Amino acid sequence: MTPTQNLNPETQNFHLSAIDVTRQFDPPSGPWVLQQASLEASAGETIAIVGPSGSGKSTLLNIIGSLDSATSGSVRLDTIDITSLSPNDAATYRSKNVGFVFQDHHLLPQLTGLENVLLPSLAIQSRDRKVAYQRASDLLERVGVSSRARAFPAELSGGERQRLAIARALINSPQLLLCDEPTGNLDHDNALKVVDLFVELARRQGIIVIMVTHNLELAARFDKCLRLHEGRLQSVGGTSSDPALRGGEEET
Amino acid sequence: MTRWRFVFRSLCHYWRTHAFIVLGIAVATAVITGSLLVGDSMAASLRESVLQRLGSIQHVLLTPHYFPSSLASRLTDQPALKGKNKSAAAILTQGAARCADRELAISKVSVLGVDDHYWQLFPGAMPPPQAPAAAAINQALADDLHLKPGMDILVSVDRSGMVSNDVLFAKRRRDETLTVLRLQISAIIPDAHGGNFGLQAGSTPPRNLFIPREELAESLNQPGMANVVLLGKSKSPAWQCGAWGDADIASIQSALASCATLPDYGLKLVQSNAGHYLSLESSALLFNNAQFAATQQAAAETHATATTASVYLATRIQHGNTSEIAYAVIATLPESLRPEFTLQCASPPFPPGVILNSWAAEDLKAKRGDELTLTYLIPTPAGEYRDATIRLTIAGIIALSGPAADQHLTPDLNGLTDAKRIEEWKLPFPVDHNRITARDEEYWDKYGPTPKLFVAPETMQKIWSRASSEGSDTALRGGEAAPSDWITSIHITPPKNISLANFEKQLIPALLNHLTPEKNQMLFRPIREQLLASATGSTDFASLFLAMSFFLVFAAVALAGTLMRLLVEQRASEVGLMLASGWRRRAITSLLLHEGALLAIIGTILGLPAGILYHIAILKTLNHWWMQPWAGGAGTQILTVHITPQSLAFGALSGLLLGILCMIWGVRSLSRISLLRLISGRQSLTLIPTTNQAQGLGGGQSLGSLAEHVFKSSTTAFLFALLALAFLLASAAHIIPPEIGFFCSGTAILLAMLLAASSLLSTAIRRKREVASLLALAIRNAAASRRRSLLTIGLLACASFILVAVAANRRDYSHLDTSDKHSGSGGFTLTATSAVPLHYDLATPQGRKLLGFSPQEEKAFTNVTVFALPECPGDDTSCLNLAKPTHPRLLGITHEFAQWQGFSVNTPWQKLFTDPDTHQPDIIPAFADADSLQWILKLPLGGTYQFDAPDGSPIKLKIIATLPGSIFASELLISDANLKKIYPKLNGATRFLFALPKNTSEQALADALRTALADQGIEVRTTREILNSYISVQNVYLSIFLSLGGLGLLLGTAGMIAVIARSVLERRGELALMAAAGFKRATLIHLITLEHLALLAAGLFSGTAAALLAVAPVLTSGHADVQWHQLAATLATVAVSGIIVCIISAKTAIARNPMQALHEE
Repeated sequence: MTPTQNLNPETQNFHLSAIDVTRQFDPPSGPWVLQQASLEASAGETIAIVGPSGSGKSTLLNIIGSLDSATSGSVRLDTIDITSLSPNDAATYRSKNVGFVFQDHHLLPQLTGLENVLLPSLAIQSRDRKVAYQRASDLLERVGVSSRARAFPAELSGGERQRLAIARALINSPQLLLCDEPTGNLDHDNALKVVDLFVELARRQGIIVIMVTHNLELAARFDKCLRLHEGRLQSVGGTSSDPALRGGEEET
Repeated sequence: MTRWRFVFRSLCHYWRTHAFIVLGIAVATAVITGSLLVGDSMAASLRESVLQRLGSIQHVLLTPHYFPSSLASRLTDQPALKGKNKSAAAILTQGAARCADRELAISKVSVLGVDDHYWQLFPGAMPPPQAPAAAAINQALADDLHLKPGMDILVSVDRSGMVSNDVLFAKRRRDETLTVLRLQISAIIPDAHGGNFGLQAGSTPPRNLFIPREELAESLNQPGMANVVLLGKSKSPAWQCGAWGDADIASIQSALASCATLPDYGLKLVQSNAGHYLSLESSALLFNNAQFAATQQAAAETHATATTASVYLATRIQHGNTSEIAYAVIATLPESLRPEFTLQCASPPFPPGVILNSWAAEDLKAKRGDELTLTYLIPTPAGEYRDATIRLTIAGIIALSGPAADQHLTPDLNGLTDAKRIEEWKLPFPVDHNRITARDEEYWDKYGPTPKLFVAPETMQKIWSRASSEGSDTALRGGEAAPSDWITSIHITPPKNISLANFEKQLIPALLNHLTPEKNQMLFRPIREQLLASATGSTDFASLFLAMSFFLVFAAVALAGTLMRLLVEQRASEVGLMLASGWRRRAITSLLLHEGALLAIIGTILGLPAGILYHIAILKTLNHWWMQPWAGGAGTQILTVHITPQSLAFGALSGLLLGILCMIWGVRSLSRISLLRLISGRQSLTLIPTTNQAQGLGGGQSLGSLAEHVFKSSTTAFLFALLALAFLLASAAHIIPPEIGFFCSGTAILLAMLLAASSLLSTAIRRKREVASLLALAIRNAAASRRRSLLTIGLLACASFILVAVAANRRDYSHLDTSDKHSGSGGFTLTATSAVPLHYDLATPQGRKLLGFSPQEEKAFTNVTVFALPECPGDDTSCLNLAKPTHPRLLGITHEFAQWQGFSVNTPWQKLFTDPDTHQPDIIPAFADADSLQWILKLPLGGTYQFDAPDGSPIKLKIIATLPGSIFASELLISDANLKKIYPKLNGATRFLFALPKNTSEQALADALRTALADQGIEVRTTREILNSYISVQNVYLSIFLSLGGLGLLLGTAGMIAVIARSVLERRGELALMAAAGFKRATLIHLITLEHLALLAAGLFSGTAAALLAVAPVLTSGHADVQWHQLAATLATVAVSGIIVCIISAKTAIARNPMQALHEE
């Protein structure tokens, strides 16, 4: 399998594994952010990563999404060794297999909601425009903002903007949805709606959703919750079986 | 959604920034295109003007003597030219014109005597209506004198004839040398129909007056004659663009030689039956060496003998104390009498011999062996005739019969030989009729101008040379008299047994064979080819305006590039998101470049019409200037709009290329921002480099990063400062031209200043000192957005650089102390030129009296030093002439003028009278105005300027000294002797300089000159006026430069407004926070204003300092006339308007309550 291949999450059973991932900033004397962090995930699984600020949550997410490179260790999505990809292959890998949702929605102010959703599809030259348009419309429907398709970001509320950002992340049918504190700018109700949407998407489309968050209540809604502590991932346990997680936010 | 849609959406969304980018590119395109079009229009206008002046004329023959007008038709009847050419004989002479009923007058009018053939040379032209005493004029002359058909005009023309001014028989009296014609204007000839005929290319339209040729010829005492042949192609489909080649000149000259007759060369043969010889006479009275040599060759070829003959007029022949003859013609002893009489030329103390005819011997009661005293007149330049005497011994007495009674010994002399009685003589010198006796009249009645005395050729030569040497000191003659310069006729004695009539038939072809047109200064000039070459201009205006626009283009491109860069930085998070979505960096860069390219295209498209308008505006400015009377304009536009596709394409391509390059420069910053930083939306380019980046530089990162680092370094600023110093020193030492020195040092200093500013800004943010005041906070803020701040500083620096440089180069001579000998005026307050040569010396009271100055007018000359200089007409070598000079105007410097020691010149004036190079004796030393030499003739000091003399021989002038900013910018200065060598037919002075003592009224002198010399077309100007007219060309360019500076300032202001608006927009959260912390809105406005005022001050200081340093060579040269108060006012205006813009922009930007922004955040 090559990075240019598109794993269809609805037909395939794929697997993500990050093994002993380390990351040191400004080597050789810089700080170690990740030290032998490992995780495994299968199609349709949702994972929440929690941890204090500066613990390396976003760095791990960036390494899995090929936006950053690990100092050592390996990250694989089925047969794709993400850590060894060239910049161009990494771009292809991202365009076909990864969707990102950030705390700041990063919607392009000059594009309408629908056009923002379609933006990643332009990265794939061979993509059928009609198919992409149909999928974008479906996604807008699914995330509940189809009525605002023609609106510009400045005309949308914070929740609507983030839903658009989720739809945009899904436009190329990725296997991995990497969410970096996607609810950070949302109120509680909207945050819950968004997280539930992630869980639903994972169930329905069989994609792996990894979300970095400070909010333990939200994390508890995911299949698995991992805590990043001193560079290592520790399992907090299944969300339904950990009453501590359901108790509220770990940090505010 | 497609990529193009994305691009379109982005273009619309960021339209404000894009508008400024488009403005920058449009300005750059407009300025480049406009400059190129100015060059095109200049060249095309000059070319158009040449084609208009010449009609279908291809070649011209302009001779210093008159020839029969039939030459034109004889020429086109020659097989080589028949059917192919049209020709017209004409008279072309200079004159002065004035309104008959008003004060308006104009000197230097071309008076043309033409016939119907002339009008046929101009397609579509019709001859003006013919009427007695009527004339047609061209539009320029009509405009100058406000003339309309039906009005009268007075025209004075010179009719002094061909006899040189220093010859006794030369006409000098005003009534004899000048004719004033009163003519009624019959028509105003359109420019395109022959009205603008002229033999010089240039921006000054000729002032032409057309009279029927024969009428003018009669007025000039030259009936049936002409001095010009115009030759054009008879079939003229291609005449508009083509010109003949050299081969045609050869065939025309050959045809001319074939059809020429002796009268065409100003010669005639007279049969003398009494002496049995043919006498060859010249209309110029004296022969030149070439004519003499050719005649000798022709005589030898026909087995004849050629002998020289000469006559003079004695005013008194005295024998002892009692007997004398009042006036008598003396001649060289004819060849036919030489076997009988021998005259030994004895050296002093023994007087040379003389032979008297019996009539004179009887009158003088003289016999062989007696001594006579012969008195004769020598003309002086002042107009006086000085007596000279020579003692002679009577070697014999000859009977008044046979060869001794030959009236043809005396050539035809107008006013003498045609008089029936001595009383009727019309001679230029005074004749004392009281001394003429009845017996004298009886002799004249019987024998006419038959000589009474015969002397040896050597004696006659001595008499002539004394007369000549008298003039040589005063520039009229100059140099050594040519060996033939005393011969008044050449006697050709045929071999025995051949009649004179038959011999004449043999001699004429032989003479014509040797007397070629070239030897008689009859050379056809390929006038069309020459003028078209001249019309290419002395200045490459496209380059000039491009150079002048350099800093503006730089500013415009910098604005566009930096704004693009800022925009890309602003859109960092957008780019980061796209990268995270799988876009490749190259694809995003390509997308942004597409945007940039579209902006460049829009900018170019808008820039092209703007460029056309800009070029039209420049042409209007230049036209306005050239329409001024003192610039030679006639109120008509000489420059017309010519737009060539090539220039449009080149301008568009240049603008597009520059636009795309600055877009690439703006977008390439993307490659240096890490992906994670982009995603985070932190566009850290403007902030201090991180440790990581700094380490990366040492680790061999991209060249771009290295360049960025180097650019920031203060060391580079120092290196640029050193480079600027090197350019300044090289310019001061004349190693590089001053203009190159100015541009290079200016650019280097500006860059050094910007680098220093960049370094200071970096230091300000690195130092991390406590921010203790609002100003410190403002400076820290400015430093935080270093690139933006540099953009503002750079734009303002460019604009102020231009303004200061312009002010420093501006000059004004209105208050020049013209009595300062070492100034550009040379110590002269007034200068005058006459349309026709003055035949008396204006520098002496006697000369002025003869010129007609009244005693009252003479008072204006009290203590005034006057110099009269001969001048040959030619092309103006100053910047007032747009065309390239091919035959420069030459001014003859006299010894007296050299002794004046005027002007600031390092080489002694006497050097003009010595050979500059002993190895090359044909090289003539010359002085030239420094600016004319550099900009128009494009020669270095010591360079040699070459052109053709009227006889076709090459003239080489070596420039041995330059006069900085002088009144002699329009001509080259050589010695009067050398001038006479080049132009032997030059007769009299036409240029006059007046040095007035302080507190003397220049107006009184000017009025006296204008009144007394009105008919001679005197034009009096102050030297201040002349210097200002030259400098006004420079000032008009500087004004354009100033406008460009103003435009630059506008760009700078636009950039500053954009920067302020952007800065406030970006920092609204920060400002809101400050508002929340208790800062008042006024304080925030104060903060923003202070921040940008600091940038304004830095920009103005950088530009001003850079400009002052770049123009330091000019300032220290001593010739600069900087209006410091004006400069200070300009800078103050810039500063004040900048402050106002800052305050208004800050107020507008923080118009809303900052807390509202905080809520939005």
